[in-house]
Amino acid sequence: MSVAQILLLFTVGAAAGGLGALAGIGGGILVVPMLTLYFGLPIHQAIGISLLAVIATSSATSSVQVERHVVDIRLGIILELMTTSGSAAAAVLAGYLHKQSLATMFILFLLFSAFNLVKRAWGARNQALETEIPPYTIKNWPGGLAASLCAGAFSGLLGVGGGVIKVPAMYLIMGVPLRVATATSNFTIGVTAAASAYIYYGRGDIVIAIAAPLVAGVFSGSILGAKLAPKIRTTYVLWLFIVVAFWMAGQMLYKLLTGGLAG
Amino acid sequence: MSTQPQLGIREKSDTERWVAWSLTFGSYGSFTLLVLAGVVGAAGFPQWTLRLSTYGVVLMLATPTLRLVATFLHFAADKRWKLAMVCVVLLGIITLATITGIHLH
Repeated sequence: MSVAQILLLFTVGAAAGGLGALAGIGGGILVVPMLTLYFGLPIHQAIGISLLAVIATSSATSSVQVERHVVDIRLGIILELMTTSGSAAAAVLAGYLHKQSLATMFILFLLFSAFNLVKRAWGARNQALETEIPPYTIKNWPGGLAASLCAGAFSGLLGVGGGVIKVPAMYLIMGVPLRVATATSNFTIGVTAAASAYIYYGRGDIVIAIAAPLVAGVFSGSILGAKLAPKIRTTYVLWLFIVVAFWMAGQMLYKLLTGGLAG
Repeated sequence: MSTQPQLGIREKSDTERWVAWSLTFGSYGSFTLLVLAGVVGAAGFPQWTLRLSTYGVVLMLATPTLRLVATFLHFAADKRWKLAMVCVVLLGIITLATITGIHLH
């Protein structure tokens, strides 16, 4: 691999990590389409590498959020029981799925995430930033645990963090304040992704030469994004993220229909 | 099972420090190895590049497990056995996933 290719992978990773951290949803969801569309990687390998990117994003941002006391560690590790089980089982299943099936599921998930972000960006237009965390009591554990199992399964199957399911579940179903829900979700996605990443790694789906510069880029982008996030108006970043997500979903769909996705 | 007041209280103890330390150590350690791999590669030592890249990737992969071990040790030291048991079950799931991965190789 040439130095130019290494630098390109690092830059792509930094962009995905930075944009993901600024938008508050992690960069994993952009890594899979980037690797399949622009680097010609088979989707199984792109998912394996994306899981590593999810771990990098989670580790980089959680270490800061934990020290800021916004992560509910006890809630997080209990939900992880479900997310890791779902993630590991789905990772095994992914090995038996055809690339077209995985690509179709990924496109649907990408569109679902983009529509969710549209709702969030539209709702956040005039919303004041939540500076203090109100006291809360966790309710509806069965609902929250079921949603976590689902989120874990999506993570293991598609190489995403699953925050797009976990955050609304914690916020709307379990009554956790949004800021705590977001930070706790980010905290749990690392262990969730690790459970399935070990399986992808064992299966040979994590190509070190591509993963190494990309993960280094995602890590540095996430750190920079997390530091910049409180200083800039993230609504614009959300809209940029939405445009990129729709663009990539469209591109993936086009390649899927024309048989252009790498096998 | 409608309310669990104790579980709704966020940690404000040493646990946070242990967890943050394990995450910082793992992720920054891995990042350092990956950057070093790039530097060594640019200097013309390809065999070291692959070795350092592999160590970096494996350390990143192991960082969440390291965080679980740190959390378990802290909960066990604090005699909070239920939460320590949750960590043990999680480590069991991760171990099972690793063994499955090895068998799939």
